[in-house]
Amino acid sequence: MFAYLTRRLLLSVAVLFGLSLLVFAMVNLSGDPVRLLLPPETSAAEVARFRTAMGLDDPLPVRYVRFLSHAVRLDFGASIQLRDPALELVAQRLPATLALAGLAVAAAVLIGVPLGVLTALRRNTPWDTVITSLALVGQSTPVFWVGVMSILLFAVELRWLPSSGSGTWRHLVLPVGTLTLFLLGGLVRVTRTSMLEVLDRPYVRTATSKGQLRRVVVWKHAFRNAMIPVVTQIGLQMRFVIGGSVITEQVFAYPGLGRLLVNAVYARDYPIVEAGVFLVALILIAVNTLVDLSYAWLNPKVSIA
Amino acid sequence: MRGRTLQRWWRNPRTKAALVVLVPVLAAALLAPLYPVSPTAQDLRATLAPPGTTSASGAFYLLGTDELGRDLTARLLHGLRASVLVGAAALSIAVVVGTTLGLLAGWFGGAVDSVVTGATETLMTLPFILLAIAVIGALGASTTVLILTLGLTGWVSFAKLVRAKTFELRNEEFVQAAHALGVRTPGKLVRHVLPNVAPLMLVDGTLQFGALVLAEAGLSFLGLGVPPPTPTLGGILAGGQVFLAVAWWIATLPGLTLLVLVLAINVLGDTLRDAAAP
Repeated sequence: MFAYLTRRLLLSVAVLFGLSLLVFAMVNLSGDPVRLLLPPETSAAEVARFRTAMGLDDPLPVRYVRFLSHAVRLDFGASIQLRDPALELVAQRLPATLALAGLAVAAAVLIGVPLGVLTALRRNTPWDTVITSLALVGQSTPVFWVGVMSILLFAVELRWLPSSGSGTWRHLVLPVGTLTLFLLGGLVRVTRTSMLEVLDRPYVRTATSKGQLRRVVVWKHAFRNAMIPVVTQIGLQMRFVIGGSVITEQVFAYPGLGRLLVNAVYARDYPIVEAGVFLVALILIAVNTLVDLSYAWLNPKVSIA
Repeated sequence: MRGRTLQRWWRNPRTKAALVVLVPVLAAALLAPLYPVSPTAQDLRATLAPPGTTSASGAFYLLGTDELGRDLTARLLHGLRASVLVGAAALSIAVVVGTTLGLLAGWFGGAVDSVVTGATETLMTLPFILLAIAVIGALGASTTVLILTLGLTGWVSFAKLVRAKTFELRNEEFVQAAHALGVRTPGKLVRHVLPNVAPLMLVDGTLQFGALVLAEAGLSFLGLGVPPPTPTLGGILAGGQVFLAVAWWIATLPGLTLLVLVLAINVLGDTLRDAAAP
């Protein structure tokens, strides 16, 4: 267990290190940051003094080490537009995104897992065909189109819900619904596949043949084991949740992290982009580690050594 | 794929259903420039015209027009073309990069394997959109940057497939025999490993194509994809959201077009998978 955790931690550090290289290369590939920081009428001497003061004349490796030492302390500098520390601005938007993503994942699991189990138990019946086909349609639908169509139906035509913004629970319904539909298809299909595979295993057939109740076989013997790949999938899907959230936030003008980042790209506000990318990466690494640890709880046979 | 697998694939009714949709859609995408109306020509006497309108100038708009009176049929055809071409270009890069890295990692193991696995792990942890935001934020939005970003983040599944198979085959007798006969490494890899992963790569490549098309559409919707004036399905949809209350067709039709294209691709990928691993 300890060895596993150490390995996992080392891997996370390696991932973050790779990411820091990527972000550093990006910012330095994109040209002279001084152009963005100073007004265009600044004199050449002024620009030179500024460059020295900012350490931009140092060789690249020196600058990378400096960037890294700041990044380790989660210091990404001040936002170019707003002058506040970038990390603070990013952290302020995090709760809104976590609320959207958390509710959508919860809803997708509550709906998707039972549907997946149902299709597996009723394999090759009309239930199975209809739900599996709908799941594939869901996986093929662009998330922003679902969002815009839900606005057309519920905000423009029926006038039941607001089309954008945030503040009340009514503002959350359409974004959460959109993100839930985005996640649902994949979850149904993974649950179905996993459940079918487990139902075919010898210990489940043994349980059935010794006269165990169907209910006990399905839920006690099969379901718990079938959930292992499903939990992995949810962990892997976290990156799609964040990706889908970025787009969903844009559709509904929802003031979350994704919208902040997209607007920062438009404004070439690099500190915000760096801080946001790092923070999300940290969160995703933490989630994936938790998912791995949950195996042991779901299946005591798995010893993580 | 062997003859029997191919036969099993062709006998599946869903295969034909997918092809009946996919072939005309791909043909429409490739032949879009032959459509007589320009996607950027404006008809200011027929702005926001609903589908099926004949304008004062006598032009017929089958799918309506946008706020500048541009023909939505022409814009959708050209947007479809951009989706398909960008997706195909990105897929080619992803296949080449993924296959190469997978072969190297699986064959040499050790440090090479560690580096490739590290890169795979990094890309698997991060949302594609976030990487795209970092890259496009730094380099600016252009078609080249878009294709490279999609291609250089989409290779992971191919690398994993090829690496696992190479690893497995490296110790097989026929590969060892080739080694004993003095076949040099590149020849061995290409001749013995690639044919063994080809069916799985085909399945994965089809599904990945659908994913890349959706990713391109998402970035275009955010304004980070192919820059205007080239029409993209995501871009048309984003522009149409403003006019949702007065012109539903502008935002609705590009999404439907994407859905039809990606669904057909995904069904085809499913049938290929069913045939390859029944």
